[in-house]
Amino acid sequence: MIKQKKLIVSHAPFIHNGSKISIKNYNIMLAALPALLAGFYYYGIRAVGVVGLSISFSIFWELAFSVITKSEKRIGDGSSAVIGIIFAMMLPATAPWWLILVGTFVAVIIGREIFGGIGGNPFNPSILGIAIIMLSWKEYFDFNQALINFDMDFNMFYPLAALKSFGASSISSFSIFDLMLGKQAGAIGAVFGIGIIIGGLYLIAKGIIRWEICFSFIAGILLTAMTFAMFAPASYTGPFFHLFTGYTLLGVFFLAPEDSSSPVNRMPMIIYGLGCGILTILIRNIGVYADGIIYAILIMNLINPLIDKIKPKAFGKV
Amino acid sequence: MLKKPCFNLTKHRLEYESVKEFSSSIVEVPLSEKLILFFDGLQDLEIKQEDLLSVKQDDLLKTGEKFLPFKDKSSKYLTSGITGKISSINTFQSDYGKKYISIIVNREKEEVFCEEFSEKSKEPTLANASEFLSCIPGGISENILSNTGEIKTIFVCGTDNDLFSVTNQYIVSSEIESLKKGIEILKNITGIDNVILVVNKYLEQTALNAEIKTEVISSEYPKSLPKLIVKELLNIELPPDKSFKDIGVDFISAEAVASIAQAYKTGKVPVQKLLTFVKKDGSKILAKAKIGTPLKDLCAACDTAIDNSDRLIIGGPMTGSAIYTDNYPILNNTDTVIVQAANKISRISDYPCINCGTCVMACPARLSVNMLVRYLEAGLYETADDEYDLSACIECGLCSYVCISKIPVFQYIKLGKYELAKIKAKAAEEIDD
Ligand code: SF4
Ligand code: SF4
Repeated sequence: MIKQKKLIVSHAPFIHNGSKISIKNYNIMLAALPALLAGFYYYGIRAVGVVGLSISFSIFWELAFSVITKSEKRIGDGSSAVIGIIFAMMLPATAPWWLILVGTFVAVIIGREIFGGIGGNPFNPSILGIAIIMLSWKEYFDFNQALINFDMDFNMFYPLAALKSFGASSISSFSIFDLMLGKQAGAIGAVFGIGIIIGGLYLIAKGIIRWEICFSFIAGILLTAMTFAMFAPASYTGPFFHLFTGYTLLGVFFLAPEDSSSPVNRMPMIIYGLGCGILTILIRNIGVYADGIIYAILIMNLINPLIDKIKPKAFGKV
Repeated sequence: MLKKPCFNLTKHRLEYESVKEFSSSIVEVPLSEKLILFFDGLQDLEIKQEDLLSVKQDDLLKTGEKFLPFKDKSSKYLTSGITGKISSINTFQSDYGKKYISIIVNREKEEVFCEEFSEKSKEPTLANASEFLSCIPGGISENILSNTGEIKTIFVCGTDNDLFSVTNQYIVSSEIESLKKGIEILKNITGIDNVILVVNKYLEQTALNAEIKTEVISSEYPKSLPKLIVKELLNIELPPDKSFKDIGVDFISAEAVASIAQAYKTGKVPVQKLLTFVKKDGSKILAKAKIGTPLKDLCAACDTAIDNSDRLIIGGPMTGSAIYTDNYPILNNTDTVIVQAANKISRISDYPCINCGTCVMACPARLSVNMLVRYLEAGLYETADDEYDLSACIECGLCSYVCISKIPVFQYIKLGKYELAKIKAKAAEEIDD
């Protein structure tokens, strides 16, 4: 008998659409670029330093973890770099190196690796990192203090802090247009609203993040803020101010739609987005925190597995 | 059926191949020295029980002769495509424990045609169709051949189930007259009046010109899978525990219908299978070969050398199966044969599910595939079925095709269904005891 050829046997399908986790992550980085560049423009070399450190530390932590646990090294897929970038986008340009080191540790190791690595994280890792260091070192997130040495040609009072401390009348000095352009005090990647929107729309167009989540998130914010403003216009400001301040847009396009911690079915996505939006405004308007995005998304991350149980009836089932 | 998410500009739909863009002549595969005939009516019988076999080595078969491999009065039979002697009888194990008996027929120099069919079938009847034609190219289902009145509608598929294939479309576009004749015969012998040709938009005009009762379905994958045809044309979603027979529907391929016409016209049982052959460079040609021709002869006739580490696939790229030997025959339902070069094979990865939800968006059966994989990976087949509708999957393979982590989702699903069937069978047995 002639020697049998050794053919490859595997299961159908035998073709693939070519999508890759690394390509997805590179796209997210690309989308973050407009907002980041604006941050670099306003806050200069210190902002560049913060972002650079944050990316390096994140990658370092993942590498260290995979060496210690002897697991496969996957840093090439860019998911730690994405955590690093998004984490840095939420920091003030003055964040010290050790804060970043601790924050990325929480994000990468506690937020993701101990849950089994990529895909296993119940919370958005970057948010978890920020939330923990925010609780521990509050002063660094007092953007008025943090950015005191920056002298800009625009109002350097952190808009959400102004709203929280002095009420709706105090914010008349902020023009929505300036806020959109990034002419406000805030985190490196969170000030340039238009840039974030461009990045977000790019991701939606690429199918990387889901429009259901983003749009319902925005709807949640607008509706809730509008309701507040309608009943007590003196104490609460209108919805657009909320949209362009703090981490709002970052939350809408980069934080809430993170794969592992957000739903995949349509109805749940909408509920999740609305929930994030509503909670954000509730926290901002009646809670103690100036910015509610972080906690709103964490809470929705937590109940995501529950909402994602709402699914359509399968084929042929009644 | 990759639903385009709103605003998503980059994802493309998966379209079926169109025969209209197909411009090659048919390769006639020369007669092989031997044919391999597969018999799948094995069930519990073992080949070792030689006294059960009704054929033995050195038995002579004529071209077009039908024979029963087992003495058992099962109505299943095989048709030999050449004149030759049986040289060996073996069992062949296929995916998921499926067993075949393979009967190898060595060709004799002189070809002798079997006259049995032409003598007995001056007039087409269901009885003689059932007696001689169940193995024709494309095959005719048991339910049609033994019609006892349950089947009310027959869909003649002028579409191809899987991507790359144009086999049935080619029949519609070039043998429309035989197809029309075949449909008439089918109606007459079964007494079923509602015989509908299903085509996609590329062939609508051809079918209408021939005045055949026609329905048009989308040319987007997987719209021509039987369950989706029923959904689209009859607006019925077939529940997982029901069969097509329960709703009075059956399917037959355009090729089979054209073969019926040819059988009664020529008095010979058709044994030539038409198929789409996809070469290593991705180019596609049509080839005609006798049922039972070993794939290596087919590849040779199509100028394709098979090397180590290539992949040889029967059936389409989404739902077919890769086989480990080129000594495997063309069966009567082999519409597509694909040879994939070693360097073009995309490997699976060992990434976990990242919960991106692309599979959920792609799934035509609306399954939460992301959750399903988690349960299937853990081997929890019953929970996977109870909570995440494993059995409602219509087996299109899209979930694996789109999975960004390259998880073999579809493989998990098929295995899950197989294991689930075993669990259920066992449970049923225990109740019986
Ligand atoms: S779960 Fe089944 S029906 Fe859904 S995409 Fe996968 S193979 Fe197709
Ligand atoms: S496409 Fe793959 S990675 Fe994405 S949710 Fe489905 S199974 Fe998970």
